[in-house]
Parts: sequence; C-alpha cells; structure tokens
Amino acid sequence: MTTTMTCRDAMREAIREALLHDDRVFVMGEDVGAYGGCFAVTKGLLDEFGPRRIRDTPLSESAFVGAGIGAAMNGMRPIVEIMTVNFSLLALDQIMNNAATLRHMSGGQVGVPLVIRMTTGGGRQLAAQHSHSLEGWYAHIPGLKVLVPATVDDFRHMLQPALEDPDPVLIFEHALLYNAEGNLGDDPIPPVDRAVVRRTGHDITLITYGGSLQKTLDAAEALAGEGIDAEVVDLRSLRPLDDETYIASVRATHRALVVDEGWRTGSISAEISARISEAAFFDLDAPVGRVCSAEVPMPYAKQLEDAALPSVERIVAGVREVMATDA
Amino acid sequence: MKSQTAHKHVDAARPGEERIALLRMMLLVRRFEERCAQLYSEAKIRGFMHLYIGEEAVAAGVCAALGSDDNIVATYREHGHAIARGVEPKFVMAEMFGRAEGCSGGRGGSMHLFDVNHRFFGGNAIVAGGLPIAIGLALADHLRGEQRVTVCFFGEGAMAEGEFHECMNLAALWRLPIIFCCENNLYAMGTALSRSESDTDLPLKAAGYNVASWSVDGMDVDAVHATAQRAVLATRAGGGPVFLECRTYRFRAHSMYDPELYRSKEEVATWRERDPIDIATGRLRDEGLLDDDTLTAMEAAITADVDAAVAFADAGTVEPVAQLNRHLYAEHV
Amino acid sequence: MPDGAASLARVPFTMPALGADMDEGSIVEWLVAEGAHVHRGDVVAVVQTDKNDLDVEVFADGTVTELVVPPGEKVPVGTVLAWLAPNGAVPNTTVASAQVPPVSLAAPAPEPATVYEPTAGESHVTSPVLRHLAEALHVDTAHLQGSGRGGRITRDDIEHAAQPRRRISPRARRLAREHGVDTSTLESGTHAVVGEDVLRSVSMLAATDVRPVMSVPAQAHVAPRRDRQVAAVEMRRAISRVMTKAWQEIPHYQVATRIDLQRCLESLAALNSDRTAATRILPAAVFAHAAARAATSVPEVNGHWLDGSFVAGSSVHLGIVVALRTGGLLAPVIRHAADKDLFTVMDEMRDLVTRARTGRLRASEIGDATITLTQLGEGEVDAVVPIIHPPQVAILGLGAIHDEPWAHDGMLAVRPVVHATLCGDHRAVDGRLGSLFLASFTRFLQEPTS
Repeated sequence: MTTTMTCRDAMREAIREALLHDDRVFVMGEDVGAYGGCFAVTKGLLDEFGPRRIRDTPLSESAFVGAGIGAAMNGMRPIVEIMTVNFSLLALDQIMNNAATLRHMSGGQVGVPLVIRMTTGGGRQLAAQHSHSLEGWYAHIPGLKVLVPATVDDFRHMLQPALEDPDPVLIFEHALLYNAEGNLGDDPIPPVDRAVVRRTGHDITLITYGGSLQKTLDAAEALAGEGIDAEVVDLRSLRPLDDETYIASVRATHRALVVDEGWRTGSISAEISARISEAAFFDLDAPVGRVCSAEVPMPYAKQLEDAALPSVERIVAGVREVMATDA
Repeated sequence: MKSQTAHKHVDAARPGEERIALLRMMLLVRRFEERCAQLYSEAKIRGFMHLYIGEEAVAAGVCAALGSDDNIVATYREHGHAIARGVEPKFVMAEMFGRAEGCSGGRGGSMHLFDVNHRFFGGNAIVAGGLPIAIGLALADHLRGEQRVTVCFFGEGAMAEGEFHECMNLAALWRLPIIFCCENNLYAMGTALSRSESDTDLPLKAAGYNVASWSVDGMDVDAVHATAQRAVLATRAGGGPVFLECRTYRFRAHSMYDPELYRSKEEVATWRERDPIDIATGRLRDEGLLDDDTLTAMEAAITADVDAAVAFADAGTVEPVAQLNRHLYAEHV
Repeated sequence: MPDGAASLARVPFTMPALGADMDEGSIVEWLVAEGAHVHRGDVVAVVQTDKNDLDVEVFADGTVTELVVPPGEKVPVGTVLAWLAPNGAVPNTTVASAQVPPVSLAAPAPEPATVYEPTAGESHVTSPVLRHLAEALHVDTAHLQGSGRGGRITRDDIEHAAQPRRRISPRARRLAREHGVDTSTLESGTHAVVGEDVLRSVSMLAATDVRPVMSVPAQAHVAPRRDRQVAAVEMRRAISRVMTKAWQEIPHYQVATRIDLQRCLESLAALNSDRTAATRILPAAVFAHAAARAATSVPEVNGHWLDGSFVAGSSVHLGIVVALRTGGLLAPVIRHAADKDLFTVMDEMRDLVTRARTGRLRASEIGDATITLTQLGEGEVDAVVPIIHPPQVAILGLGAIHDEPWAHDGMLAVRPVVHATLCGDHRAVDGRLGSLFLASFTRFLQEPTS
C-alpha cells in the first residue's frame, strides 16, 4: 500500500515521530513555532509539543547553532533548523570550528550528536542572497555528514538515522522539493550513506542529487527519444560520497555527466569528476561532463535565473556533448 | 595530591584552610605556567601558548565555588582553569607535549584542553566561540531539570564579537543557569579596551541585556571566590544568568611571541605590585594563618608536582601517524 | 629527579623558540657580561627575530661563565648562546637534558635553475629543450620555417608542424593494449576512438584472424601455389586460435530441432521452375534468408558480447561459413541480410562463396557478422554442433537434408528433414530464446519467399 504525500509533509512526519519517541529530541530555530515554520515544515508541532520542545529563537544563528552543539554535547538530540543555507553563513564558525571539530580536538571525548536542517537552492527568483546551494561546500569539511534527500521516501526516513548518529549531520532540503509529491513506499530506505540508481541505462551515467534529480530524470526521458539510454544515480549523501555505486555505473557505461546546482568551480561535481578519473580512468570513452549553476550571483529576472540554473535542456545538451566526443 | 583539592568545599570550622587552598592553587598554576614558558623556549611546547600568569585568582576563585557536576567552557588561555578545575597538571603538560596521554589525546594542544570527566568542555581558539556552546550546555540542563551551573570564561575582547551579544540575549530570554565570567585584563591581544569598546563599563553593557551584572577585583582571590559563590547560588536557584567582570591583568605577553609594544613596562610593573599571590600570601601571613615553613613546604611540593608533570609528559607516547584519521566520527565498538 | 643538578659544572642558555614560526634569531645586545650573577626570570639579552626584537630571560640562578654567541650572528633555535654555572638552587629537570638539538626548519637550498639560452640569428634549433620536443613530436626541423627572431625556430613552430595527436579514449587505449591492437589502424570517423572501435576491430580479427586480403582488381587471379600453402597453414593456426578461445571462454549451450522441409522444398521447386541452373535458388540461400529473418524476430541472438555486456546488432549481418578446398574456412558476411529478398541473398551468397574459395574476398566482407550460419550440406552428417565465433553470441548449424521418418496425423510418413542446432552464449542468450529462434526459423522456412 502506498500513500502519496509531499516532501514537506514527509519531513514533518519524520520530526513528529522523533519528538514522540525520544524526549531528548527538540526543535530549535527561527519561526519554527508560532509561525509554523518558514516553509511550513514544523506547522502544528508547537501545539502538539509545546514551546520547550519547539523552541523559537531570536535572529541569532551563531548562538542557537552553538546552543544546539552544547545541548547535543550535554545529552540532548536537538534538531536545529537554519531557515536557509544562506543564513547558515552566520553560524559557519560554530558548525566548522565547533561541531565538526570538537570530537577530534578533544581526542574523542566529546561527541556532537546534532542534526541541522537547512533549506537550499534557487529557482524562485529570490535573487543573490537567498538562492545559494552550499551543500557541496559543507561536504568539504571532515567531521560532518551531509545528506541531500530528493524523494518523499528519503524526506520521510533520513531524519531518524541522522538523529541516531553520534556525530553532526546536516540535511539539505531543496526549497522546490517541499511541494513535490510522491509515493511513500512501505520498504525501508537504503542506508543514508548509499547512492541509489533511480533509472538504469547503458549509454551514460548521470550523477546528481537533491533538487536536480527530477530534472535529470526528465532529461533522461528526453534523451531516450534520441536513442541515448541514460542511467541516473541519486547520490543521497554528499559526505560521505558513495563512490562504489557511481563508479560501478561509469565502468559499465563508459561515460558520465554530473548535475550539480552549486557553482561549477570547486564544486562537489568537480570532486566526483576527480574521483571518477582516479578510479575509472581506463573505463572512460569521454571526459566527465558537468552541468552546474553559471558562476554569477543569482539574478532576479526569471529568464536570467533559468539560464543560470541547471535545466533539462542544459542537461540534454551536456549529454549530447559527452556522447559525441570529437576526434 | 594535596594541590588538587583546592576546589573542594571545606567545613566552616576551619575557614583558613579554604583560603590556604586557594593560595596553593594559584601557586600551582603560577609555577606550572612559568615552567611552560621555559619549555616553550626549549621548543618542547609548540604552536601558540597563552600564559595565565597574573590572572590566577580568577580561575582559582571561581572554580572553587563550583560543584563537580557543574560545566565549564573556557578560552585558549585556559591552563589555569583546567588545573583549577581538577585536571591533573601531568595531563595538561602531556597535552602540550603532543603526547597521547594528554587530556585531549595530543590532538588539541595548549588551546584545546578538554576533560569531560571534570566537565571541562575546552579550550577554544575562536574568541567568543565558546559562548554558544555554554548556552547549549545550560539549555540542556534547563530542559532536563538538572541543577547544574555553566560557567563560561572569556576575555573582554569577546564582548566585541556578535556571538557575545547573541548569547547574552538568549541566556536572559531563556533564563539559563550561566555565569558569564569576563576576565577583563584590559588588552585583547594588543588592543587596549579603550580602543575597542565604545563604553568600557562592561557590566553596564551586559546589564543592557537584562542580565544581573557584577564586577569584582580580579587580583583578590577571596573577593573573587566570595562573589563567585553568590553568583553560583543565584544562578543555580533559577535566577537566570549572571555577568561577572573580574578586573585582572596578565603580567606576561599575550602569547609567547609578543613584543608587548602596546603597553609600557611601567604599567606592567604597577600591576605586578598587585600580584594576586602576594596579596593572598600577605593577608594570610597577617592573619597568622600562614608561616614561612608552610609556604616553603607548599612551594617544594608544587615544584615536585610540576617536575613530575614534565617527566610524565616527556615519557609520553607519540601517537602513530597511521592513526591520523581517528576521532573524526564516533568509533563504534 | 636530578638532585645532582647542583653538581653540574655548567648549564646552557640556548636560543629560545619564541613563536610558532621562529627558526632562528640573533643577539642584538647582551645585557650581562661574563661573571655576572643572574636569577631566574632576569632578562639577559635582546634577541632579534624576523619580526621583532624581544627581551629574553634566563630560567636558572647562577653565574654567567661564558658568552658564546656574539651580537649580530644569526643562529638556529636551540643553539647555545652562553654557559651558566648554576648556584644549585631550585633543581631544574630540564637541566638534565643535554644540548637541545637545534630545530632545523630552514628551507632546503633552492636548486640551481636550468637555463636554456637559444642563440640568436640561426635558423636551426640549438636549444636542447626544443630539439627534444621536436624529436618527441616527430617533427623534422631541417625543413621547418622558423617564425622567431632571425628565422629562429620556436616552440610554436614545432608544435604547429607536429601531426595532431589522435584522440583515443583511455578505455580504447586499454582495450587496444589488452587485445594487441595497433591503435593507428583503428577507424572512427569524426569522433575520438572509443572502446567500441577497438572491440569491433577485435571481432573482425577474431572472425578471420588472417592477414587481411586486400581489395583486388576485378579480374580474378589465383595466387601462386606456394603462397596459397603458406596462407593455408596460417589460416589453420588462426582458426585453431579463435576456436580454442571461443570454446574456453564462451559458455555454450545448444538447442536443436528437426525441421520438415517438404513445404519449403516444394515452394523452392516452384520458384526454380523457370530458372536456369546458374540462377537457381539453392536451399542454402533459403536457410540463410530464413535465419536472417528469424534473427530479427529474436534480436537477442543477434549481436556481440563486448566488454561484459550484450550489444545488440543494429541490423542482421549474417556470416556464412564457407569451407575451403585447401582446408580451413572463411565466414563472409551478407550484410543487412534480413532486409534483402531471397533472390538477392542467393546472388550475394553465390558471389561470396565463389570469391571465398578463390581468395578474392575483401577485408570488409569478412568481419562484423552479428550471427553465423554453418551448413554441412554436402556431407553425410545429420547434425552439426558448431562453435560460436566470438564476439557473436549464437551460431546456427544445419546438417544435410535427409529423408527421415516423420509422424504426421498419427501416421508414419517420410519427409525431407534437416537437423538445426542453435548454439548460444549462455551469458547473453538463454535456452528459451534459442528455442524461440529455432521456432521462428522453422516458421520462416515454411514460407521461403514471404
């Protein structure tokens, strides 16, 4: 039996379930309570669980993320919500210099079992300061784990293992996925650190995550009409990266293209391309392609924003380029 | 070791004991820090090292007012706080020698001393970086109804950071059991307080957040201790956070490598006349609670402790490089 | 614990490490002289480092016996600057350690730069670097026009003159290495040489593995006898190599059936009724045509097993095994066999078999088959179980047509029967598909011209 729900509802259910079953869990962030959550993920939870556990904070990212760190160190399992990844920059010091680092600096004594949820991505004409995709940046930092759900199942079921993790886990939720509907399956999801092949194919491997998954699947459909049979790998986790899955795919298809909403230079797609080169160089028939965001601050005007973000058209064109490697 | 018991409460029938214990702790920290200076010069301690000499009364006085279950967050100038809290000097020294027996496994160094058993939550090299952690520790205790107090030590330089202001607000808003202990030694590295704060009346600034704000002479260990005891009582009883300014001075440079171009030798000399150890010693002698023999014995015992700490550190294990990637994530058994 | 510290004659005062990045320093000024009494904490010298002048203190009580390093001399951290005779006051454990080894953090001396100075005014290349480059790129600089000053040949000139390096993908290079293929022989059209190009060439070679017969002028000629003998021996070797490899590597399975050819032969007879002997349609062609059509209805048997997976053929290129009179065999290919009518198939077969037997096949006609048919129609054998020609995944073997007992409507009859055996590569084709193919082949045989 399958139910249909949005990713938003799925995450809310996940948070609710965690709050019900573990009294160490509490939610903390801006407007998570009385406002119902900026993206309505926590809507209704204040009424059900009260203000101690659904804790509204002032606009103090550094302090409340640090508070999440301290509370996690001292026996709680906080879910800190940073409204968007754009504001997380104000807490970057706490995330990188404390959360990611305390276990190591203390020689293993201190653990930070903290979950930080952030909304990420562009595409709603919110302009340069509200459209970042920085999950690839965070994936650079040792000591953190970075999850990027793209399906209703993952939105529903990634939170629990993240809460159980004795180390800090960052969950990036693409803003445009909140309204996306899908079937919630009955089966357990694969382990959160594994990538999943969402579409099999044998001409090229398309590697992507999060908000770019649906575009990539749509591109694969379009390409099938041109006789190009694409395999689509959903990474689900950016740190750690599941090399085994996408490398095995590339070994079979001999061509790869990464779709990543981050800016191209120094992005997670660059890391994946490097790993493919390291592990599967002698199985490649073409250089690894990349479709990323154009390297501009995100513009406001619609046609400019659309041109800056990865799109089905750009993915299709990118694949054609990889397939046609010229002599 | 006797020198470790300074922070235990002593019964009121022998009040002098408690004060002698405070002196002993200050002396231990002083001699320890002096030895660190020498060892650093000999390149046995590396990286950055920030000595607490001159400020001992603050750590000794405040830590003696805490229970063993209370939480402490400190800064990179935290040798004194760790020792006053009860972390054995040998583990602190081993840490600075980079040995696996160090209190942070050799992974942290001088600026990142941790000892979870003593609820000593570091050692932080980012100015004001520890304040949000303190908020979180206190928040957890508050949510779980624990009777713990969290003391957060920081220098007056941290009051310029945004994190200080966010944390003061949050602590007051949520009525958290935190003592914000500001060690005002008048210089943030090389910048004098008057050049960085629009208003140098620090307790006034803190009071603007609706936080109980006190100020005490940080060179007088008895005053610090008494004030700290009052602050702990008030906070533990649910009175909300307290901001405690301790007016103090560091006799040595900011770190080992600092030509001190920003302050005059005369100023240092003037403050040295208010050496907290001299003040305490003088007072105890005047009251007949301390004589030369006791002091000599105390010094000898402390020297032995410090020598032992150095020997322990010297003989410590160098962690094999193959273990580099440990302590990134929890190691499951 | 060294309580013997007091008995040490002297104690070193060394250049201190005063910061995380300090490697060396020099004394600016000694503030004490030899013979001076000092106490721990006394400032005894001013030291200059890269960044600053710093007061430096002594950590023991004693008398300065010797100032070793004079002002101005730069020394590494740890160097002994002076000696003290200690008073034997507070024992100091660090005294027990002897000379602290200087921390040598100085950068290694830079290696002398290699400089090439091209001489001006000459047009041939004197620079060793450029000579080497020209050699590596196979450029003959003797006939090169230099664009540099005074007609000097520059790097650009050499690179421009070099043949453009062929684009060959990493996978193609690896496969070429593994299969012993010379990449310069690979054709790839306008795209870079990729793995498939190598594998295709490998499959061509596997099918024949003989020295390719170059295209010859239209007139037939028969090669001299001795050459033919040599060629025959080589062919034998090549066949043995391919067949051994196929048998060892391909998991063969077989499905077989007997086919009643009565209807087929009757249709054939009707077709041939108005044809001359030279233009008659032979059963071999009917079999070939039916096999090709059956291969389109079961495409899983039509293609190649390459690099671990099945690559379906875009068309049916039917290899037909031709036995040669000198011994050995060739398998020329009827390309797009399923798209051709029976008459075209017959004509092509006739032509290919003739030229195969006279050694006049073109290289392009003996490779790239997607499925092969072998018939031992001339002998007495009922059935043949053939070996697949890699990288194909199936081969159809037909025995001779014999009259055999045949059950029909509960009665015993005698019919012309052929035994058909399909050998499949179990990695690509399972038994079910093989059976489907044979069923389809049987059906098409009943209606040879449809």
